[in-house]
Amino acid sequence: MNMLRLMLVCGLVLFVFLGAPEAQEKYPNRLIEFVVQSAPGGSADVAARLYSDDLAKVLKVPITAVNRAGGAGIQGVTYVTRAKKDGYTLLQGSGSSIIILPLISKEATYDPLKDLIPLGHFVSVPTVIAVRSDSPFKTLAELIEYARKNPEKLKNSTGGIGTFSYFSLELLCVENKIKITTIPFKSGGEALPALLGGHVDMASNTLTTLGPQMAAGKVRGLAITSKKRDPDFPNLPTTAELGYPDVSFSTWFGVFAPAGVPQTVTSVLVPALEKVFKDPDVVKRAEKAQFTVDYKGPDEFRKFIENEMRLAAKVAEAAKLTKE
Amino acid sequence: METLQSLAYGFSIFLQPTNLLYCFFGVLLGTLVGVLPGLGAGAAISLLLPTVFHAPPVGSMIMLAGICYGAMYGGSTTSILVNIPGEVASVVSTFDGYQMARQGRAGPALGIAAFGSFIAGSFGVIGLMLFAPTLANFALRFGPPEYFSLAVMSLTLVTYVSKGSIIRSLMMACTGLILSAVGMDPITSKTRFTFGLSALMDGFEIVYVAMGLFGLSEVLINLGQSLKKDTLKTKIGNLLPTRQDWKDSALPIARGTVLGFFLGILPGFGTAITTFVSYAVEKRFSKHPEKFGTGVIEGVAGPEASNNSASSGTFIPLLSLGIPVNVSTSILLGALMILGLQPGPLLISSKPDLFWGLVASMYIGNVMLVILNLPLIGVWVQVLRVPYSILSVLIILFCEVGAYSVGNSVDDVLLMNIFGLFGYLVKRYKFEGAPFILALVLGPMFENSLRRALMMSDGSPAIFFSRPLSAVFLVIALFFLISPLFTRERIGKKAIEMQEE
Repeated sequence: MNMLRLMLVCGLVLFVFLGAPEAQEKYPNRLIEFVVQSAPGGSADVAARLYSDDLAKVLKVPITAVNRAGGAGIQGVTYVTRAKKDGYTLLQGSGSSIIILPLISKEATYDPLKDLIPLGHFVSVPTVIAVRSDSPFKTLAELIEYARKNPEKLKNSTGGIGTFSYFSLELLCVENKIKITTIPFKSGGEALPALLGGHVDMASNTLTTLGPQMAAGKVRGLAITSKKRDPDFPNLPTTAELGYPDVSFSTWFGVFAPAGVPQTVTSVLVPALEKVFKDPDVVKRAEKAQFTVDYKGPDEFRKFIENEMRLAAKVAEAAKLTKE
Repeated sequence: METLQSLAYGFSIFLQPTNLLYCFFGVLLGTLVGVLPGLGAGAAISLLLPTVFHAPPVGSMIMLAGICYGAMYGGSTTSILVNIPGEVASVVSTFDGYQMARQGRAGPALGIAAFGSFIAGSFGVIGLMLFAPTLANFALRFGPPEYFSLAVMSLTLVTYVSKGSIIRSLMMACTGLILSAVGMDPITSKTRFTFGLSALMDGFEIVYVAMGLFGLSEVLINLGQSLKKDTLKTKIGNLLPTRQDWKDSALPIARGTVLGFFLGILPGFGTAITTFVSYAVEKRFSKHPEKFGTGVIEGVAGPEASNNSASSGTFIPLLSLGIPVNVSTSILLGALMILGLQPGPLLISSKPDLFWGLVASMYIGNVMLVILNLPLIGVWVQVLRVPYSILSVLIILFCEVGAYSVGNSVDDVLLMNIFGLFGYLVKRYKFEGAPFILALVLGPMFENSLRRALMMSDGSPAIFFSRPLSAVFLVIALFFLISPLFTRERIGKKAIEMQEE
């Protein structure tokens, strides 16, 4: 290669690496990577797709939803906490990976309040405690009574011990001092056939999973953990009504940014998220997909997380679930 | 008959031009995705999910469904032509399909794969149409004990999917079982054998393992023998299966269809294991089992049929009960939720246009696929003429990109390459990848069902025998294990003898 060619090549290489300097322009001015903590089609993924297009329109930049489902969502959170703090990598966090997994898994090395900034709470999906419709238990009280007389005899199916549906049941057991054997499955969807096929006696699962079965009469709900009765199931009592106001864990999804993101970024994101989450089209879409929209701003969201962490820690300790 | 009326209604919905177009686009994309190694139906469907908002519900579902079963047609193409599975479900087609291609019979292999897929797919749709709710309820009777017994039965077939030394197959199977334990255990949510590496947190993903073990390794092996290869590649015989091929394939296709359909409705079972079981069954009931692995058409017909009828089968729990059985149907479930179509037992009755429109589209979709695939055989076969120096680079490229597409992670690409090296060593020293993959796929089902079943029975192993379905599968497993002792043909021994000739 002669001298001229060499110079040309060096010049090209230098040119490529020079690039354009990161202009301190208005945020956002390019594509935002939106990390979703589930595989495509999972509930976190469905939730994200309900509003990501609208958010992109409000922020006037494209948003790509990237699925990082590893380790029950841990990898998604870790990826975002380690990302550049420029506001172009955001997380749609699920309650279980933010609150529960740091308590029970040593792979979750992040601190939910220190490593992440809550920007806006989107939806929650309450837990339902249910039995099959041919089961002898007609009320929650009957179930608890039976469990008291026959410790560890009742078998429960749930979508994993790191989920809020499971924690709801555990809290119930702790408060009543009863023991129910839980058989964990990989997801709520996988736990459903176990109940329907009669392989377990009861299930603690999300409303999204059990709702259609209850509507079809195959499954009887005994209690729901939302604050008010669900309009689709007016005969389903809430845990608060039945005397357990603390058992109010719901699976929730909200948007987070890694800690250290500048105020210029959050001051744009928070109002944008509020606008999108309160948009009537988005709300309608969410409701059709069986999600209850319950917007919480950053401060309210943070308080909510702190409260949940305290309750969850209590449950984890009582149920002897630890990091090791 | 009410079903025929509903079917006519379904066709009236489907035969609107927009829906026809959606179906065509779906099956075309599905075939393409099936051909490309690594990029699976799941990835394609998830990429198209955003379009679901802007398109009519029935049309989008028809398109997404088309991708699912279309991928099962395309997967066999690369398996047969270059020994690289396009889908995990097509791994089995590499055994005999590639050997047939080397003998100049790529055309008949592809043809039987396409026709077998068509017949199986169509019967699968008929089954879906007539028996969906009944079969879904039957599938519910399979709980952890039954899955354990199914896993045991499938594992006993390990030696049937191997061509040579039994000891080596068993060693590979054990390695597969051990490696399947790596990652987060769904029962305690604790991670095992990950050595702190986040790449291993979910264990080894079958897709990139299969790509590395079968795909990359094939290229590596060929690099060492490129001179000899070229002479074999240029022999391309006639393109259509012969009469004899049809005769030989008839029963395998029939058996594969039935087997695939029933195994496909079971949540979590997977089309991949179904193809292994089909291959083993064909080998067991064949009059010349020792020829399996050298290029017999039954080894292609059976598995290819089974993966297509399994694909139709996966729609049954989805549409009748709202239960997804694999990655693709999970995404379809998500799509149904986004569309507000409320999947569940009431879906068929409350949205008959969706169900019957889908069923009608699956019939025509299968027809479209066979029409698409048959002429393409002539095109695909020309791929064999491409100089291997170029082809190998393309294959490596597809494998690397495909591995990334699995989980958007560069770690997966690295792992795939490691498995590629592992696969090279496997092939070089005359071990086999098939038992390894089978064990890797079955390991989690085997272990998790065992633990869950024992939790159900409070520790008593009697549960596996007291439940009739579970006991049946264990007996079948015993039969598969013991019967070679009584038949005079020791399959493995004869195969080794033949190889040494």
